Amino acid sequence: MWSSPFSEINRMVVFMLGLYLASPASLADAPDGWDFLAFDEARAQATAENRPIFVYFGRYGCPTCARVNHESLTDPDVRKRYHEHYILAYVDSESGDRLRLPNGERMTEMDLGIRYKVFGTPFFFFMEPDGKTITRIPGFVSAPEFLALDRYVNGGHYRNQSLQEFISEGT
Amino acid sequence: MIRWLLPILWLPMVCHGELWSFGEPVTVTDASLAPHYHHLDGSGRRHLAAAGDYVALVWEDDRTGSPQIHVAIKGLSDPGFLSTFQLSSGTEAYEPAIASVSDAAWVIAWEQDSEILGSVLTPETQTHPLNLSSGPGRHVTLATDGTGQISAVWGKRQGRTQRLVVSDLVIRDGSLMVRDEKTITTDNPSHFQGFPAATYTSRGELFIAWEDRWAGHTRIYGSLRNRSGMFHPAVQLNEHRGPGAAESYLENTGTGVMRVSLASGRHGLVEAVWLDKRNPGSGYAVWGGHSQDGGQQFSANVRVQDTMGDAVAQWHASVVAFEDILIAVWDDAREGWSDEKESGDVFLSWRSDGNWSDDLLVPGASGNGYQGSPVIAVDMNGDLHLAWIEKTTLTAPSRLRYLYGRRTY
Repeated sequence: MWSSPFSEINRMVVFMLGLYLASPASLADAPDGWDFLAFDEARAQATAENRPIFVYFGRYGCPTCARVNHESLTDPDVRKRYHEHYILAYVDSESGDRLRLPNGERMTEMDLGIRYKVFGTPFFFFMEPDGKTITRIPGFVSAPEFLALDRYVNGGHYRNQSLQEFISEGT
Repeated sequence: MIRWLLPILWLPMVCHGELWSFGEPVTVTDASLAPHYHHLDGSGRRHLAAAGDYVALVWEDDRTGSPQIHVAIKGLSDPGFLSTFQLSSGTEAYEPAIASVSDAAWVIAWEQDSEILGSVLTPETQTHPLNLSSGPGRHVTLATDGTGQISAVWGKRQGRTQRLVVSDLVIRDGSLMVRDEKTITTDNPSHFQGFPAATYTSRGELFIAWEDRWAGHTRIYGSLRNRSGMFHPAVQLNEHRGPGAAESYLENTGTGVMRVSLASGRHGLVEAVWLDKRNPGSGYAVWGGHSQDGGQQFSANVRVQDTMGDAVAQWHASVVAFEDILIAVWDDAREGWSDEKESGDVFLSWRSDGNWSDDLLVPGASGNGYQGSPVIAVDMNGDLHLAWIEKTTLTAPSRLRYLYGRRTY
């Protein structure tokens, strides 16, 4: 799948390049056809159903988000697997819209991004129902990469392997 | 032996920056009685204002079980804040703003149950709140000129669109009243204008800046209102960085900008600072632009923080001015980064000779845990007042801290 280690540093390089190579722009809100919830709603539903969360940190006008929406999230297999396996959340990391976390803390979507160290968009997180990060991927992610990430998280490999180890095995 | 050394070890707390001598921080409100969360967030980041011999801080917290607006007032010579009381009374209230209107009075505005309210505050009294929006509104900020001009700028929501409104206010018989109201119009059809900042220039004219999403991505715009009440055509303050200007399919995208703050100095000086993500690898940084002609023309964009902050993102930036000196404050995590903990420290920088200074790690607003979301005010003496939110761990309840910096120049 990936020929090089999927380290965050490598992802950052790809992310930076991706910003300048991005293709067709919608307005980079949440993509059509995906049933994203607000983050706090997703946390509540994930807890109730004991399912992991897939969080998409995007931004209005973000070129790489537009490219992901256009090239990757339109893939029917990606869409099907992610709807089946995860509670989906979309966060506009420049938004002042308010969220309330399960511990009662109120924050904006922008501050949620600060808390999760979202230094750019897009930034994708897989989380446990309690909000603990399983793995996180900045920048452009292709449809095959999304499918590999799904195998890593939904297959439970993250409990025993780092993402880099999982990828190195060519799984 | 250690006991004898303690006073010496404390001396660095009274730390000398280049232009201010800082005392020790004081706690405004603690989280010890009932766990709750404080928020210093609002358009323009105007939460702290000095008025004569007093300084007042406004914020939102949920100590009563719901988000409400609270205020604390301190005499400049007092060691701490004397009392804290609640301003709002609705189901929930958010994002307050404050500005001084006289030697011992402030105007305060906030969002309450999706509408915009305003009130006049003195150390002894608060007037009955006035509803400024009479409908859905948010993102309110305030500007005053010290001679009676008071303006609230806020976002009027109509369905999925939001346009900015300027409400000129007047105090009659101690109560706040609306004198005039005008919607901001621009040449471009915008569906979202939000997070405004506002300042009265030294010429007595109102300058406002805001986030605008008409172009398909967010840009910072500004407009000057002259004394006849007419707004100049809006000008773009941030330099647009698209991923490649030649490709038509990218024309609607661009790097992120958000949360503009404004300040006015003497001789027509107007400064705007905002968060700007033109460097895609490290996140938002504090950038700004200044005007020397009262807000008609702005300089090229200038990075505010120093190169030591380039590797991390900056957040919660705002700016104030005293005479010719500009002071910007923000938080960032250059001193320590952890995935498990919320990390941040408060920094400030000043511009007194045409260049922004090296960043100053604000004493008492740094160290273990999170110190962030700073707000700043400058009083008539040029002394600094800072407040921020402090947390020990990621999910811990917060407390509010305050620091005084005496002018030394």
